[in-house]
Amino acid sequence: MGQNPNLVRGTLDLLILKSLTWEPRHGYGISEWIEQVTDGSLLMEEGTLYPALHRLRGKGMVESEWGLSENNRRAKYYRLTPQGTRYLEAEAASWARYTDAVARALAMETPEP
Amino acid sequence: MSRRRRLFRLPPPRDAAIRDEVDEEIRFHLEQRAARLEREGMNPSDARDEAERRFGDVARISDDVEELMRRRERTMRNADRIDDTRRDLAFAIRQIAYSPVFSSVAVLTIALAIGATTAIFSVVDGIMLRPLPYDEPEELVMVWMDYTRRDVVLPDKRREWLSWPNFVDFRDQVDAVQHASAFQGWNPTLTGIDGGAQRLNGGFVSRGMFSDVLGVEPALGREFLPEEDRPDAEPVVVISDGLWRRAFAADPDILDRTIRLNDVPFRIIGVMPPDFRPPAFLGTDVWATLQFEGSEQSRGSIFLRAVARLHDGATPELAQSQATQLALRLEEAYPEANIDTGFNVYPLQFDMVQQASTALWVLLGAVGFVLMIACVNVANLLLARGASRGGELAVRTALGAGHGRILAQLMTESVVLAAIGGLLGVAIAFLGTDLLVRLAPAGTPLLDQVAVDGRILGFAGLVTLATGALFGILPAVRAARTDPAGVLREGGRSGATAGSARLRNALVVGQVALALVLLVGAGLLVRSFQNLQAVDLGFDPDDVLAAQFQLPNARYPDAAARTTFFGELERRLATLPGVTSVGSITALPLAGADGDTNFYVEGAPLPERGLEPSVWLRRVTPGYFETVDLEIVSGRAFTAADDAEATRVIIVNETLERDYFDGQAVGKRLNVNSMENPVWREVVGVARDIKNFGIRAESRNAMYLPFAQAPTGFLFTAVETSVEPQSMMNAVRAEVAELDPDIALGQLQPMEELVSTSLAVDRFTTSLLGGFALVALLLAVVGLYGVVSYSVSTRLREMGVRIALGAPGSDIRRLVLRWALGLAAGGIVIGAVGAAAISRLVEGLLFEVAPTDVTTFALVAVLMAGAALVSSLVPAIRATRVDPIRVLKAE
Repeated sequence: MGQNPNLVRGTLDLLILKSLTWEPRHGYGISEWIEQVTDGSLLMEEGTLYPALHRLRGKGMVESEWGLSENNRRAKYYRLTPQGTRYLEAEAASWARYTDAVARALAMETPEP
Repeated sequence: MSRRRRLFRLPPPRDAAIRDEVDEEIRFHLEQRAARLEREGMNPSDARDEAERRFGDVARISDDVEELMRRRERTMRNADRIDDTRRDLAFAIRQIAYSPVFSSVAVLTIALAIGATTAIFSVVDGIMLRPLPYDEPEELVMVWMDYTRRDVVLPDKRREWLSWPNFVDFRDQVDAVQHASAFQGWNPTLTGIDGGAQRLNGGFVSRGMFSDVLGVEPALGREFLPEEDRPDAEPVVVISDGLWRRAFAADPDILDRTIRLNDVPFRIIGVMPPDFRPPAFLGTDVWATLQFEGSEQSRGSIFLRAVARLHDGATPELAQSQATQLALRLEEAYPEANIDTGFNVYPLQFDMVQQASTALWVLLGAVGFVLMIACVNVANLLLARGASRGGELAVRTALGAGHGRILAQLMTESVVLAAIGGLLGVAIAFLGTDLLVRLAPAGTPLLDQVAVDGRILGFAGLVTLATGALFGILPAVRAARTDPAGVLREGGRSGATAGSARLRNALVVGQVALALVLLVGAGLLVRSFQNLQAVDLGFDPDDVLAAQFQLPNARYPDAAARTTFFGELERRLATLPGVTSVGSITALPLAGADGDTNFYVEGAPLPERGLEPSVWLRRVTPGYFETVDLEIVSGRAFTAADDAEATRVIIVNETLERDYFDGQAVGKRLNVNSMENPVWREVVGVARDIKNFGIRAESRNAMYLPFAQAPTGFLFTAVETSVEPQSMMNAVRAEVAELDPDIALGQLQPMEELVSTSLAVDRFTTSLLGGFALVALLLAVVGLYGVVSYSVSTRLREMGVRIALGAPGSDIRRLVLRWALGLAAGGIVIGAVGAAAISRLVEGLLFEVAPTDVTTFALVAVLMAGAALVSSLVPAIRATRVDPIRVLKAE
């Protein structure tokens, strides 16, 4: 099973990075955000979030730090690094071009534009 | 597991820490999700299950995350490590630059020690460790006759020459032998070329020497054919690349050209390749065939040496045991010639270098001692500095630097110091090796193999690392272990604990001990050298110039021609201004052999065949005894009247007179021919015993014949001068050239040089070892001085108090000196015990000195104690000058 088979490779990384653009979040917070904004349609297994997060950490896109959660529990918070911000901007742009192109193609009604 | 760890407050291992972290993160997620589901109305147990279902495979995901975290840890740790090293290096270089005096002293000490060690090692390596430059050099052996069981007069009874029949039997009957070739030295004069007559250096070789035994083919032409060693064959030669270039301008059409050697025409059939390095005993220029047809009669005449190549896989030991079997058979078959003889088979390289090997190993050991002493010195410097840096290190420790980090930082400093010293040392090694090769005694084998190359640089690198580790480790461990709290409480002024003072003292004691061992070794060699120089040679080589002549048989075929030539030569030389007397002999004392012969005393019972007494016989002209001041103790010297027509006469030496004539030889007769055809000669005089075979050798039987009654074409002519003999060289040369321009003077040298040449190895070893010992003494004294000064400077307060309480200066001085001399005495005692234990190693180099010579030990101990006294005097005096008020106020 794992992720939604429709989820394009790398999309989860982008969503994680995007979720961190406003504030540091813990893993559960990230999963809630993704669930909310995608109507639960993308992340089928919440656990897959964690290897992705740690991979991003290894690449220096995010940093982590232990902190206190809303209900005063110890939780590991993730924060975007400048490198992660740059990566997100670049990838989001190319993602937009890609989906635009696919959308335009699928919207065609005649074989020639 | 984790509870117990917490209970015992053990630091969590990294892996377990990672697991805990991942567990906690995932647990948090699951709990938050479950709480949310509960809030949405699920009952708690369903909520927990639903949270886990939504999460996925918890175990697999934790494993993945753990692995990712571990990988990240590793990369970070490596990056840290590289960072640390870079920081340590930068810091080390800063530290070294901060204290230029300390650093240059340390670097110079190390550089000298590494340079000297590397230079000596390069010589040892070139001569003894590097394989000979031939194919499969381990298959090559030298073959000798062993005469140790025979009572004969021979220079080295283990390494005597072979007769042709014995050589042939060895070659054909020892199974381990693949090829063997015999040879004989040959120093012909080359004439008929531009630039005048040239004395060449070469040999006669039996077939197969080059391609079969040494495994080298001529670059031009060919080697000798088997039929070319028959006596009636055409004379042909193979020449070296060097001679080809030197005398024939590398003429490519040289083959088949005829050259004149000793006035005999030889056809050139081959030129050896430029990289062929003949073993020293084969000479360097020219080789001809040993044209010899052996007969059984010649089994007793030993005039050949031989080299052999063993079969693949055969060892010299195997060849030796087969040769011993053969010797037993030969003894039985030919008792006259071979009774009590054997063969000795030595690996070629061992044979060539065995004379040099003891000296070289001793020197390498000595220089290793110097290196160790240098290490101790630098270690002591570092310890003293480590103590004064105690504050800095304590602060670092207090700020969280672990022991490992401090240790690493200090070791980095040591290794950087050593590396700088090592680089400088390599430069010194280049110069030193060059110097050693230039100063090495003439005839040192394989000197041309000595070179500073990759091997040697690798050695220097290893020595450098070891040096850095050796002198760095103790101070670093000591410093890293210092208790920061204690040091900081004292205001960071000193980290000089009792422990580090003890360590420094121990190091100084060790240093003194090592230096003493070296001094004892050097002292023994110096005493031995003095003994050698004090040996009464029996003749006086001062102010004598000697020239070697070889008359070509072709132009001086008979006794008359030779007598005329040398008569005329002596007459002309005697008239030169500055010459006081002239005389000639067939072999100069201390400089090689003439030949031995059997003799028979008239009226004495005939000895058993093969057991006749033998004697080294020399032919002299009448002026010889006077020229070299060789005293005739009874009877008379030869005169011009003892010529070919006169009564046959002979002069014997004291040993022979004592052993064979009951101390009364004059007037008796003896025969040096065979007894089938005796020629009785009357003893007319007895000459003093002289050192014929070397300064160390016992006196042996010797006889002198009048040259005129047995002339040869080979003679040394000696000239005694009233002026500096060197200044007469050109005049002598001019006279010879005028007499016969085609005679090449083989050797023209002051006779004193014979003496100094025969002592060259001893002089070389003694002066090198002496030099090392002095350096060791200097280093030890500097080390002692450093430790005493340092200790005085840390005890200023105590001194001040003593002075304030009225202690006189002499008491203070005595206190310091007693302590310093105590250290020195410890070192001296330990060193003396050590020296007594290992001085046997130099026994082979000593002459009339026991390796445990008490005088030497005592003198060296006194020298060391004196040096220790001098070195501690300055700090002792400084201690008495302490101003108590200043010192105590400063506290």
